[in-house]
Amino acid sequence: MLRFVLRRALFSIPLLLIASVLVFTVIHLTTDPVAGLRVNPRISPADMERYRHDLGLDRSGPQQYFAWLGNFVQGNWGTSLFSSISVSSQIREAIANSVVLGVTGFALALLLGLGIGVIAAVRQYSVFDYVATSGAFVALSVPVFWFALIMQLVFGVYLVQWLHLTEPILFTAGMSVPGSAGFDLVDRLRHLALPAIVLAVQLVAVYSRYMRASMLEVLGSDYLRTARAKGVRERQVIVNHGMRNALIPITTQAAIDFGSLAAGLIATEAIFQWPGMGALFVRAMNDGDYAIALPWVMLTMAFVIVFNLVADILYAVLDPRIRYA
Amino acid sequence: MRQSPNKGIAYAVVGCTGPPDTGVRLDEEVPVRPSKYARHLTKIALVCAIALIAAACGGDGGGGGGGTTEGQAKQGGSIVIAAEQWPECLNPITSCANASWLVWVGWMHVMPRLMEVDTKGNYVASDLLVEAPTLDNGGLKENPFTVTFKLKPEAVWEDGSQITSEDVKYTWEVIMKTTGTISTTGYEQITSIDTKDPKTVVMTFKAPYADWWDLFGGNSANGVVLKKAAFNGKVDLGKEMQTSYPFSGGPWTLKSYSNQQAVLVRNAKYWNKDKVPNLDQVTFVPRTEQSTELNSLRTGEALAAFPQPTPAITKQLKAPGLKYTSGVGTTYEGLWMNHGAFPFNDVKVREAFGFAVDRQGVIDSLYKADFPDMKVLNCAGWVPTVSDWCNANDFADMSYQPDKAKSILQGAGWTMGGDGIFTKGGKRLSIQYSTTTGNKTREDTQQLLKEKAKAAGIELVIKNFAATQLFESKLPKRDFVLAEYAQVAAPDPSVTSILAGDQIPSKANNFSGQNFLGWNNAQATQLMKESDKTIDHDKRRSLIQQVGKLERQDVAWIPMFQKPLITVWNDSRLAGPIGTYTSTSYSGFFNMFDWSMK
Repeated sequence: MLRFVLRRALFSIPLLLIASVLVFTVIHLTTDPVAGLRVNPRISPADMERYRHDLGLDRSGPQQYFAWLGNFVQGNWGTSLFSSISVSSQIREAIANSVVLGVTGFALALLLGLGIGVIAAVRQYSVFDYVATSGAFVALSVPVFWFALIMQLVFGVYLVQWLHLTEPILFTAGMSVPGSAGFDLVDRLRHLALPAIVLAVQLVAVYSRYMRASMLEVLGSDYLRTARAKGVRERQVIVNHGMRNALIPITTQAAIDFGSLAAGLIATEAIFQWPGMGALFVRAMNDGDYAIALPWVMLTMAFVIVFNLVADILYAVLDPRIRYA
Repeated sequence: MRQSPNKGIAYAVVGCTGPPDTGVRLDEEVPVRPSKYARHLTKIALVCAIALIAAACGGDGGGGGGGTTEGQAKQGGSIVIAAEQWPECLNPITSCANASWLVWVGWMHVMPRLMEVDTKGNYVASDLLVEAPTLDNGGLKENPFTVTFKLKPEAVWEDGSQITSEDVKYTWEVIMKTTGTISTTGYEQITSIDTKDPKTVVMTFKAPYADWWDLFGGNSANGVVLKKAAFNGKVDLGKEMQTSYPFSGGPWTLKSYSNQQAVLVRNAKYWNKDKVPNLDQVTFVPRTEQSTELNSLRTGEALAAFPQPTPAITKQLKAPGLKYTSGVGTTYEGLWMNHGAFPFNDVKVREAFGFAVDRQGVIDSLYKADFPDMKVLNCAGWVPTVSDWCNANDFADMSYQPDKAKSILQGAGWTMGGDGIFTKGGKRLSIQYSTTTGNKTREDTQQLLKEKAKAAGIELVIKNFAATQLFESKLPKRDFVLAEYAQVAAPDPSVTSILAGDQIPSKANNFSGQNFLGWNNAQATQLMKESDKTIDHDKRRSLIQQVGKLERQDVAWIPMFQKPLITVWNDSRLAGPIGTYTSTSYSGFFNMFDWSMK
């Protein structure tokens, strides 16, 4: 197992390098960090030259990339191209915010998705099953962007009017009430709820479908029939024998999904103005700020690779028949 | 009583009583099998639909007003403003300052400056000055060129200490010596700043410098006066003021700043008592996704915003309580021709092309619905809403006249080809037309102009580039034929950097200079240089307008229109004057000190 993990870790290094080269190339070709300065009538050509030199933009693309890579591997992530604020502190803050949102949304998705999947399988072809199936298809086909905006209107405008509230039950943007200072748990939860729901809705649909299918397969297996024949209570049959085995494929899927969450929050964070990794990446790409975009890519890719590895390991742990050489 | 008239150049105030446009279609039918569940669902849906309609229609009508306060303004209160872009850092000296939103959210409200620009684009004395320096009052002297600013005796920092000439001199040193300073243009012309009298600043220049009003104020990104005592005399402030301002000399003090909000509170020590804010606190919040920004206004979370005028935005602003005022800004769109490339190396082709461009058609098709008063721009490098530099007749004769374009071309030896496109010497009149990729409105403009030009026998071949390619490579290397992009008309009228003959980028000068057109008119260049040294306003205007005439004569480029701007606010909760500064480079938030709660 250890050799397997080490081998995967080694394979991931060229993958990370290729990704960083691709992202750097895209940024280099499609964005201009000093575009805003070019249309400023008070920036002289001499100012522009000095500025480009200060930022290292007068060097060739490969020179810029390797200079960045050299510093990055030594742990020196530098500052954004546009400020003296360190990249590491910006990424650290963004990761913390994304983890809070991602874990909450993911937990919500797992809880609801698995629950709905189990009930839909146990009560196959019931009204609940039909509603869950239809709901899953609707959730999968509704664009996240649109759904988020509708949620903002429902909670921010309509419910406030209908219920004659002075403020929304769930807030529609940001992490805290504007103007407030300090941390307030209730306030944070009220801001977290909508983005977490939006993030969860498609995952709920996916997991409920997976769980339903997996559960149906397990429910028809011989060992469950044997358990029932032995007089085990139905609840125990479903929870201890059925769910446990049905969860094996879901677990690996969930690990992979969780790994890709860091990069997948872009739309949700943008709409709900949640200052996480997605929002940071959008800003970096818009500004052509490769000093932020490249570490971002390295980290999110590392996250994906690690959780893919976790998925493989979990698979082996949950199914003793699987062994990695 | 403080009462400000809603003057200025913003030209439309629109109220709304219609339901909010949610983008949701309620008219789609889904066939359902009748069951008890379905019946319940139908009832619920019906109730929801009725409630939705009631909620949408039952709100505040948003009528009346117009963003003005009548009678005594209410004191106190706290408001939230949605910011469509968020400044990454706050330093007004470094490149942070190139973000307009830094100015609008941050230092404009906090830091003092010498000169200011009023709603008509004229330079006027700020609150810090006793009066604007002029030749008449002795504030301006030629040979050697000196500018004397008299600071108001009552002008103080937030701690009550005096704002002095030492602070101005210190700011000069900071601008010249800070690592990553955004621009030293003009400041490098200063040879000394006399600070003998703490309330008199005497600047001596190497040579007459007409744009003196943009130093330490005016329209500059770094036009501020810093408090020397706040930095213990340190002159390299490259790493300072990233997320805070340790002082205030404006109507507001920045209480806190993060990537979530910027909180401004009243500076009770502000010496102009008419501009001590009515509100206790203004909190700017980033709402960088425009849909979220508009929802933030609809939900009442934010009471004002300055959104980018995207297509159909006025439709989206139709919500109870919301009002907006629109105007035209200082940014103008133009068609820029490379005089060194075929076929624009021939002035006759440029002239004919001018009559093949349907500028009015672009406005009618793409902008009129949202901005009914928008007009074609006929000034040659200036805009009519900024001071009096513009001669609005420069390009007024250049309307869409395809027959006239054909006639000019035929007179220049072009013959119509079998495919309806002119040819000369075996070459077709085919022009590569470029702009930045991904800009929907510009792409629509291209399609429209392409069709119209075809009727004049001119073929436009669209080839767009990413902004980085267009601005970093194609334009500076003059590797383009026809490009569409925007320029900013600063209150100072100098166009030397973009139109003078010695500013043409070439291999010989290592592609430095911003005269991408390659327009090289010796007379115009001479006039521009003279204008940059002319202090007298009327004389300068005369010189500038002569340049404009030469631009038209040579058809150096083709002005299109000023870009529109919008200030939107919640009229049921916020009183003004609001929107007065919509058309200025200071944004609609400039006079927040005058705003109050209803």
